[in-house]
Amino acid sequence: MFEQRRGLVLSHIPLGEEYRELTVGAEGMAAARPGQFAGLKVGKALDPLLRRPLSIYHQDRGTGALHFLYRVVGQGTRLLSGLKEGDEVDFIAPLGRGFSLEGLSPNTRALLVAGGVGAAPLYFLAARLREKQVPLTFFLGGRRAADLAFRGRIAAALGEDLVIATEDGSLGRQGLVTGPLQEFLDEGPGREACRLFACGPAPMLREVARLASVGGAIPLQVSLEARMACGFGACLGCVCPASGGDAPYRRVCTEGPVFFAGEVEL
Amino acid sequence: MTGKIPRPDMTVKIGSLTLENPVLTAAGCFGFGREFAEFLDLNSLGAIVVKGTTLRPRGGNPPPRLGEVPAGLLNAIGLQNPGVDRVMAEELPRLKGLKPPIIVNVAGETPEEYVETARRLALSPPAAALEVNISCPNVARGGMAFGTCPLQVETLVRAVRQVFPRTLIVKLTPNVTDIRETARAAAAGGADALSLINTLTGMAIDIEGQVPLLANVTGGLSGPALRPVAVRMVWQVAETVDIPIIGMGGIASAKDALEFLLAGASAVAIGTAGLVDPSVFGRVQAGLEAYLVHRGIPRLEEICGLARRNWKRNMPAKQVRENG
Ligand SMILES: Cc1cc2nc3c(=O)[nH]c(=O)nc-3n(C[C@H](O)[C@H](O)[C@H](O)COP(=O)(O)OP(=O)(O)OC[C@H]3O[C@@H](n4cnc5c(N)ncnc54)[C@H](O)[C@@H]3O)c2cc1C
Ligand SMILES: Cc1cc2nc3c(=O)[nH]c(=O)nc-3n(C[C@H](O)[C@H](O)[C@H](O)COP(=O)(O)O)c2cc1C
Ligand code: FES
Repeated sequence: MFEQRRGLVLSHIPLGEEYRELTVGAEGMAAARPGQFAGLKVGKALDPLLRRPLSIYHQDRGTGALHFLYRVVGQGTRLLSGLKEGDEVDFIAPLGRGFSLEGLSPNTRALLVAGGVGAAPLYFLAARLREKQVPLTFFLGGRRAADLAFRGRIAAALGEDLVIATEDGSLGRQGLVTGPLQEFLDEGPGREACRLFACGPAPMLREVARLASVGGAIPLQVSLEARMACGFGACLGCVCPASGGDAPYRRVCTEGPVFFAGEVEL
Repeated sequence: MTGKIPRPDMTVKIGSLTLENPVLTAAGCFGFGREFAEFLDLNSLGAIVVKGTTLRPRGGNPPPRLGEVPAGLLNAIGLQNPGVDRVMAEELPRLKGLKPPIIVNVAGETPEEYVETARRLALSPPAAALEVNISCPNVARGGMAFGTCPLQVETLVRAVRQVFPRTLIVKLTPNVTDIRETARAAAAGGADALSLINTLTGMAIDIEGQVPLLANVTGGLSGPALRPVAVRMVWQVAETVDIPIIGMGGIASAKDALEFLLAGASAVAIGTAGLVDPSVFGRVQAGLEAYLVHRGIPRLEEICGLARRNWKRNMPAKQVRENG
């Protein structure tokens, strides 16, 4: 059950040039599931008009406070980046269908594949998987080291379980993040135990889906992005093409943003 | 005197419907109400206008369907809906028992589709009224919208009138040269009330990708950017027809709603602003009430068209003729 409310900015930390971690008070709010998101109003004015969807990066167990990790890319996120501690933010949360943790146990292995800031929902997932003692490997890719300037918290939490790749080789392995994933799948423990989770640019998702399907399919859940007007299922603006089922499209905001690979066209 | 100021009478009449208050939902921006029930008491609304419904199910347009423009939204949803039979079987029964009347927005690609959809909805008691959206492309006539040709409007409305005995509202498109002509035609065809305006056709280009922002290329502009156009059209139509007008287009506050009422609307609908902030419905209602209380006006009805009446009183006759 989602709700609209106002929360106070508890902290707002720049991470490199382009990234910010925003923490907003949400006392008493329903516990969010990894993969769910919030719709944040980035200002009081009518321009920009729409809320900005941001994945929940983490939620504090005790206080319910919501953390967001975002990249400043345009007008809305630039305005958001001006928020100071103590400012009020209007948000709707928790929205959408999160990752399914069904069937995950200490005997399975979760493989999380993130492109850039796609790491946000997967970090939340990793935290919950750790609590359930599900072994995991987190593959994080970007074009260059600066694209991963936010990685501090993730690296500290995951240690050895984090594998980084950059296209220019300025950090971690050189090449696409799907490279080390493929090696892991070829050499690592049996595919049967693996469960894949991915969030990032479309070409990355397609490659992960390809790797998941060749040689013994691995269940794959992907978190998608779409432009949204409402974020809660009323406008039908955020659809993506469905694969299978009787409807041609699915709403990313309510039927997603997390889908099993077979439910949508990637 | 310490007596309490009585609450103003907020009721409005639209056809045979009496609405408890003048704030409605705009079609396509409220689904079938289910999502908004998370945020507000549906019984607090003046009426609930549900999604555009067509005879057969429609999958809608390919994505991207949305684009944001300054203080506005471009959409090309393409009337995605489950079709009238499923709407009657699954959606309308859920809304039964609510206090506000349910108004079903109806669309089609041929006159026959409109009529058949309306005929079926006549059998569904929760559908207290129809709002006929005549902005749709008329497939039989090369895709030109029904709502742009007065003769077609009148014929279509008359045909729907014959199969739907309850309140019939016709929703006008602003994509015309003179909206007074289509307003007159709808009234002549037997409409009980008019809704205006639907979205204004627009487009935006993604300068990075160097392609149109919407997969459908063009889309409908809604939201605050649309408001001055909508207020102007309500003003013009109020002078042209005697039936009630439901005004909409960019309403995001009580102040905005008041512009429409003062221009001649009897009620207002909120679309885009509710998608962004579901609390807007309550805020607008409270703000309208406060406006009346503050001025000691006992009935909302009294302000409908008041700006017109004031303006006529103050203007030389010649100018009234030219701008009315
Ligand atoms: C469910 C969901 C979760 C998201 N989680 C995060 C997150 O955790 N961290 C983060 O940094 N970003 C996230 N995004 C993307 C974020 O919403 C956009 O970056 C943001 O809305 C851009 O707003 P803007 O005004 O700054 O940019 P704009 O000026 O609106 O656009 C700049 C660029 O961003 C693209 N964009 C705009 N809106 C969206 C959107 N809704 N989804 C994807 N791209 C968009 C535009 O096409 C354009 O290329 C998420 C998106 C969705 C749908
Ligand atoms: C996402 C969206 C979907 C809409 N769908 C319909 C529809 O199905 N039928 C209709 O008559 N109008 C539809 N409209 C138009 C609105 O009902 C309304 O006339 C218009 O958006 C102007 O009001 P607003 O600025 O308050 O949104 C839609 C508008 C939007 C933004
Ligand atoms: S954003 Fe409105 S339905 Fe998904």
